[in-house]
Amino acid sequence: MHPQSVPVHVFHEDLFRGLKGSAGEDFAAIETRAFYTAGVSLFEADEPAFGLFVVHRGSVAVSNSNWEEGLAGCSTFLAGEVLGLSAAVSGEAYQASARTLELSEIGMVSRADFLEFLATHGEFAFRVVGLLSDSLNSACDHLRALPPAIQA
Amino acid sequence: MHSPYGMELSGSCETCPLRHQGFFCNLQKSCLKAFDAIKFTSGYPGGAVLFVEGEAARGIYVLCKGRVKLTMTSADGRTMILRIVKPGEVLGLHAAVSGRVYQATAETMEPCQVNFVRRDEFLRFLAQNPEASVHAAQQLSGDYQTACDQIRSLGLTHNASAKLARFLLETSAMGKETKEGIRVRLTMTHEEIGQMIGASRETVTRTLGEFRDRHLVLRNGSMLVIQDRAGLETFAGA
Repeated sequence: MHPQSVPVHVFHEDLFRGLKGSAGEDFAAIETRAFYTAGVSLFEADEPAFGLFVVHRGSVAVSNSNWEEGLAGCSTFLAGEVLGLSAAVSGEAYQASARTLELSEIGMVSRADFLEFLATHGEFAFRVVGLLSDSLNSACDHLRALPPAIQA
Repeated sequence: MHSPYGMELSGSCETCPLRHQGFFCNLQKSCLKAFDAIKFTSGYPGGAVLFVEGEAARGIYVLCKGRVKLTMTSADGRTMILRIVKPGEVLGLHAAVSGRVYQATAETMEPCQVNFVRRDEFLRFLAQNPEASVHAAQQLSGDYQTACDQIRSLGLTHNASAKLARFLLETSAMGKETKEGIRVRLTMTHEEIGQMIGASRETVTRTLGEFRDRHLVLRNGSMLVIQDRAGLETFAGA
């Protein structure tokens, strides 16, 4: 990872796989799936979070710098991975920008719908808490490891 | 309920006069009742350490009253202030949820009322109360965003003037517009401000002096006046 970049945390666990019964049906009802060609922007850094994205097919590049400035801290999200979870839950701005790398099938869930879904499905909300907790731990480790010259 | 630190302690969340728009404060009544049953209320004097970085997570602490400083030690031994926790927020949440060690040290800055919940009971409470899980997810996301902002600030901004200007602008968001400018109470020492923005105490003192000479800010004891917000924004690179 670029030493001066904000960490981009990928939720490698397929968060939505195995949603059973009413949870699966409820999630399908709030998710809007679409195909995006390569190079389409899903969201930009500092944009207020409007929802989260699930990669079903294809791949998405997530970078914490402006596209014009290069790709510091770039991660690639593949099928089954979730983008924008933390921002969607907190309601703050996205920390990074996301753009499709190839023809991709992406599911989008609006923030309001997702929060309602979490409130209804406690077991799932508990999993989300665990994932966000891991992200925060990684961010703390990253913060602790910032080079001394930068902190002076 | 009385406390030795000049504070009236409130024992029940349901009837608490200190309730804020925080993590557990605005849960529904049934949820608050369940929380009341598993929490222990305590009063702490200023300077008390609630938990230490690297210690195994015992549980979570909900701050009801007062302020708590969260600090972390960098790889080279410097102390960094992550943030100042305000009433209604939870401390030690990610460590309690993940079962890892506390990532930071929490120290009270003034007399505080704190509710403590043991880790096993808290996890059970979350699992049984989806509403509480959503609140927990929201606080963790907010904390994550704060950590990312701090990494960006410490990692991408080398200029101490820019970092201090940004800190003062963020602080002024809680201030009050007056004829002289935006007035805000800032009780942190130069050392603590330095630990927050990744600069030495000397640099903070010198840069604040420069800002004062340029009539950007005025500090009188614990009162800070932002006299020229636009000028400060120029320094911050906003």
